[in-house]
Amino acid sequence: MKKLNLLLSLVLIILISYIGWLLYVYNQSFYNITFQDIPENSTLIIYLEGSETKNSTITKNDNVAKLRYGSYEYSILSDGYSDSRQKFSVTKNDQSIAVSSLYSEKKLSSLLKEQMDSIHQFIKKSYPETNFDYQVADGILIGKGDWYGTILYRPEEDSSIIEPYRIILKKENGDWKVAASPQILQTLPANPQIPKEIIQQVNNYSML
Amino acid sequence: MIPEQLNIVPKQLVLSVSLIVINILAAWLINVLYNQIYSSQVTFVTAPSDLSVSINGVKKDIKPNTAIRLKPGEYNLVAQKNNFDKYSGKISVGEKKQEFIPVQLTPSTPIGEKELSSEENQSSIQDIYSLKYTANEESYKDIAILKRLPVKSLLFSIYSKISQSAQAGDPLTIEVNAPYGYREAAITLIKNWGYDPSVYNIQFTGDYNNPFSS
Repeated sequence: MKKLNLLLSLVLIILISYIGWLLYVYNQSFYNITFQDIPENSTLIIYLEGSETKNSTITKNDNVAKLRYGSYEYSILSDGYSDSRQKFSVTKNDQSIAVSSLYSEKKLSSLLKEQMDSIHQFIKKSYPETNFDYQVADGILIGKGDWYGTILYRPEEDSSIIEPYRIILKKENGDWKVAASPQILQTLPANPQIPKEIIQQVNNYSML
Repeated sequence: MIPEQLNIVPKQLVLSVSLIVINILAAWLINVLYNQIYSSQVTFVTAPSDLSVSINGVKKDIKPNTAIRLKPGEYNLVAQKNNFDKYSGKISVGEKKQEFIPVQLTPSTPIGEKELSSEENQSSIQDIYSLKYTANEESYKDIAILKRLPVKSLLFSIYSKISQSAQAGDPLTIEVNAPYGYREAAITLIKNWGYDPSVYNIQFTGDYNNPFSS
């Protein structure tokens, strides 16, 4: 009987050690991910990549999530910010991620209404051709309202043969500057300093 | 008469000649085997396809998809053709049994431009890009557009260009030759194929003149 108790105790110790080891390994598989630049009064929702199920919810004051190795997406839940999902990966280390917070389309279009006249005046001053032959389309504000793209075009009777020239402006210290001079197509090789998403949005902008 | 004068029996003469022939054949065979073992089969993939090539100053008859044998090492290469810039540079042949060496010339005249846009040369450019870009998966995806080129329609033409200095990861150069009002249509066609035109180095030719460039 004593021998049986000893054996059972030994099995129990081994089992508890094994469970303890499993818990330790499980705990070690999580990494501290610190999210920086979360906008005020907003919540960051984290999803597993491609999933609709929320993995974590964090805020500016509680900006560390414990996540396992893998691919994730986050979106910002806040008025005035785009809720489009941004991808990120968790490697086998603690890491810090700068949150890319872009304004919502509604906010950008409201900002554009306020600034369009001054932007168009700047373009007309920079390119006097636009005072005569060419016209400036409304255009789009992008990002946090710090990028602007539009089309300069010569009105034609047949609208199907219009040749649009796309221009990109960047707001620096409160002033608009030409980031990419008018071209039929803005490209990454010609503008390595401009983010790909900005170039793509300006190229996809249509007056229609 | 001669064997008798030299006091050689005809049988000995036949034997001697046979031995010399066998020696020559053996030397030739050894040389062929040596070249087979210690040289690489080098195929030049060229655009334009029928250019004149000299290796270490010796003119070589380079035909499309035909290999020549070269021992591993560095060689001086000169490639030229009328209406194209002459190229001089070094090529390196490694110890692989089969090597593909891309050679492409830059057109120097409109005739050269036109020649480079032919189906055959566009296909060669596609092969050259594939050879240079296989190491880079991301850019390899972008060069898949080459399978669609060249495009020659009544309104515009689209074709690819490459320079000898192009490296893996460099953006693909695409030329669009279209009159006023149809350049946007060419770009739209590239978008409709599912490729992002902003990743390419797109050049407009023909009567193109950007009214906003000073």
